[in-house]
Amino acid sequence: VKNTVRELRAARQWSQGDLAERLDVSRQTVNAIETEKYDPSLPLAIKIARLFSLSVEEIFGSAEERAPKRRDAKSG
Amino acid sequence: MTSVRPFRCLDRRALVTSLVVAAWLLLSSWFGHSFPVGSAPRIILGLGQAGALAALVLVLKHSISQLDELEQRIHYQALAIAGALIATVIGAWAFLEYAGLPAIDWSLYAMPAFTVAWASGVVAITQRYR
Repeated sequence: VKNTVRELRAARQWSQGDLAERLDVSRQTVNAIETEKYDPSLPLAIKIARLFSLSVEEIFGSAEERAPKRRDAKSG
Repeated sequence: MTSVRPFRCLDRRALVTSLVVAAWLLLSSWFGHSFPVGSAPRIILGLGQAGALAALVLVLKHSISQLDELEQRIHYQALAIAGALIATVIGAWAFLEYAGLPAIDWSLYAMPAFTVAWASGVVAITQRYR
């Protein structure tokens, strides 16, 4: 599943290790999620979404899936 | 947290339990030979060996459950592959035995082969997520 974890992390100037620490997972897990080699479990996806104050759908899914959410957020 | 290290589940507790179980299996096997096959002491020793193996499985399962979710996934995939591989090898060999090849006492080789297959699987699957 495509995701924007790398962009969100970079925007906060966190290293993969910083994010791993905050999520209580290994740095390699963060790397595997960012490179889309590994899809996180729902609990971890929710944890990531909460950390970035976004919904799971806004972080995970294709660009098309994420776009309407962002438009809704802007119009709302 | 650092890079993925699925073998960190082999902590002190797991290693000590493994060594104790291995020692118990060897000693009880050696001691069991002094009793006739089918005798009560030998059966009790056999049950003790089975119990030790079950305890080892529980300790390893607990150790794996302490890992992060990707490391757990790597282990469970490796265990599934190792189980399927060993079952296939033993099943396939049974057919070959019917065909005339020598019989193998799998009670000697199944656990070591399973352990090697599990560890190899963990190493191979870890590469996929690097």
